[in-house]
Amino acid sequence: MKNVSDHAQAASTFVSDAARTDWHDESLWQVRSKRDTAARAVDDWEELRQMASDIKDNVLANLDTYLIQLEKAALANGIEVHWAADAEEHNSIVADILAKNNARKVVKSKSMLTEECGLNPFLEEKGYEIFDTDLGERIVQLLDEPPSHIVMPAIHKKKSEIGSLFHEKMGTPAGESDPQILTEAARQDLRKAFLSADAAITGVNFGIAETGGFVVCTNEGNADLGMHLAPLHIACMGIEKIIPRAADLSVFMRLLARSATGQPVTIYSSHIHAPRPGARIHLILVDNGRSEHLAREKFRSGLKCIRCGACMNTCPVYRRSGGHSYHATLPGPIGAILNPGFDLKGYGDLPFASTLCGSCNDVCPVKIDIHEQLFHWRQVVKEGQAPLGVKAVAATMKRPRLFKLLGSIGKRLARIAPGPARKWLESRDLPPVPRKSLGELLAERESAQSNDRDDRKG
Amino acid sequence: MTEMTARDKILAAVSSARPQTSTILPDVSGRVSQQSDSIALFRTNLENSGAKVHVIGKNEIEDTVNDFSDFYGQRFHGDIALRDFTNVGSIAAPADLDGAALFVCTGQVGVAENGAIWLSDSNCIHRAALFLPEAVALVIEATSIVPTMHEAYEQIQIDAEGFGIFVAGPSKTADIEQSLVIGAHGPRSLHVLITS
Ligand code: SF4
Repeated sequence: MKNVSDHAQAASTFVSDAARTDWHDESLWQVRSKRDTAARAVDDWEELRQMASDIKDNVLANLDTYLIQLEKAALANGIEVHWAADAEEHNSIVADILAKNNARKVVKSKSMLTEECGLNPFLEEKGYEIFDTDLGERIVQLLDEPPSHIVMPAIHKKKSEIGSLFHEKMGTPAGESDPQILTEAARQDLRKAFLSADAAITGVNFGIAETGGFVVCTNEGNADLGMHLAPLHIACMGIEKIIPRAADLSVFMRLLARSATGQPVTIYSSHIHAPRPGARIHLILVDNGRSEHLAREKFRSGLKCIRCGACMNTCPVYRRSGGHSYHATLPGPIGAILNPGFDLKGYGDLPFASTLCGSCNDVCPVKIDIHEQLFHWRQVVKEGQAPLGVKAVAATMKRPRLFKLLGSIGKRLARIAPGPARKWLESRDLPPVPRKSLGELLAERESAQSNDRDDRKG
Repeated sequence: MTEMTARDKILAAVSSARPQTSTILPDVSGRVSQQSDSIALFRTNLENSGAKVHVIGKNEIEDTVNDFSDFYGQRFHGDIALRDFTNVGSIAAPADLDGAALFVCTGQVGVAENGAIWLSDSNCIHRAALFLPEAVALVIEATSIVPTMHEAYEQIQIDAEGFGIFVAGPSKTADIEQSLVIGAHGPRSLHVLITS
């Protein structure tokens, strides 16, 4: 799977098409701008972020208790609960449930967890028919590519490319690239799948310990069409997706869509606590490296992530290198701090795919210290695997073109970047020699932040 | 047996890995919001997401929904009885709603800050009724509109029924080059009737 050796190498392919790189950059910048507008419209935005962060800290400190609580309440609601220690267990539990229910045809809505577990190829190998139903996911499924963004899976594709794909797969007229017409074609094609599916597989945005249910959010309504029509619903949830109380949803629901796309809320936010008459719901709680990550003191807060994608949209490196350059299911800044925990050897290059501008920290709705963790991972990589880290830096340094691009966005970013980041960006046309200046930068930022805190106290 | 093992393994791993520091859950209740005109904001947010809003008198519901001309075909109602509409509870399978023109039911709480409307199983009867028809209309009393999600979650009980949902517009997607398309997999239009 991960045969791409490093981010810089993968990115160089992407940036070799300058026009496409600009276009990709602009598309994501637009989403970032919408997020800013939406966030500014909420008076108590910063207070909400702090609350979300505090709630998630509490979740990490009591995760076992909340999981037991969720399980008990879910069982009482009539939801069947399964536990999977790793991807393999997860996949075989899904296959087992499908087999026991004689299900062959499966409609799926977006789930980064099932991507992470490689569920689709696993089931297809066994002869199951799998339909990804989120439009972006459907596009990348038909292309046989992984998603390049967690909220907008096909953000890297142009409408003309999607037009020719749909022409080939769904018989739309040759040369047709109107998004309205292409969406309609996919709608009609997938409607048939929804009406005849044996099972629906969905992800979970939030599991609620107190009430034993879960929330699934979409704009398209695809998760709902799947789970309300098929007789069987399998919901796959990473164990960190839990929140303690129903009331906590008010905080997260105010933050999630605004951070993700700049909408005030997703169109459909479904709260599932029991199957409809005659149907069944299975909830799979998946660890797959999460408990191991929880033990890493400096890095555990990465598990607070609610997968909004804001850190990707704002990241100057992500915007210009594309999601695929991270060669991981979870790309962007959050991917760069979570993936090395799962596989340091395979993903040790990712913490270097950053300018450490700190923009990710500023937008993250649960206040994860992403860029500090990027820096810490660089040290871990350097200590344990010096050759790889050095190689990644060296490879990056050899790409003057990428460097120039980063420098120019840096300046643009400087106009909007807050505090210390602005200073840093203004003063530099090109990223500096990493080792020394990163240390300086972090020290500078940390002292700036503690000054900030002191100011507030005083 | 094997599942018990996975459960115990995960819980043991989590319990030894988690931070041992105590953290306090913030109080999220009783947040006071200063919203001057909730109904106007509710309306704006719904219109921004592509919904059509009708502010009407309580006895004008029937006339209003009969005037809709977005789509032609069979029309269904949920928890609100309407002349010339079929009771959605009378259909055998939810899949029969495919191709229906319109579905109408009541919403319980409206949220000004985002245009979302909460409803649950007892309102829509069939969960799929909110998604298969070409158009959906939700009826909400003006007095049920609250400023933010905090007030909304205080009023509703999310597990009172097996299914509850916030609906905030017609189904949409922007997955092709970020171009907004209304009518992704679900309804192509959402009407909201605010009654007083
Ligand atoms: S790390 Fe923060 S900003 Fe990035 S996807 Fe997760 S929650 Fe969103």
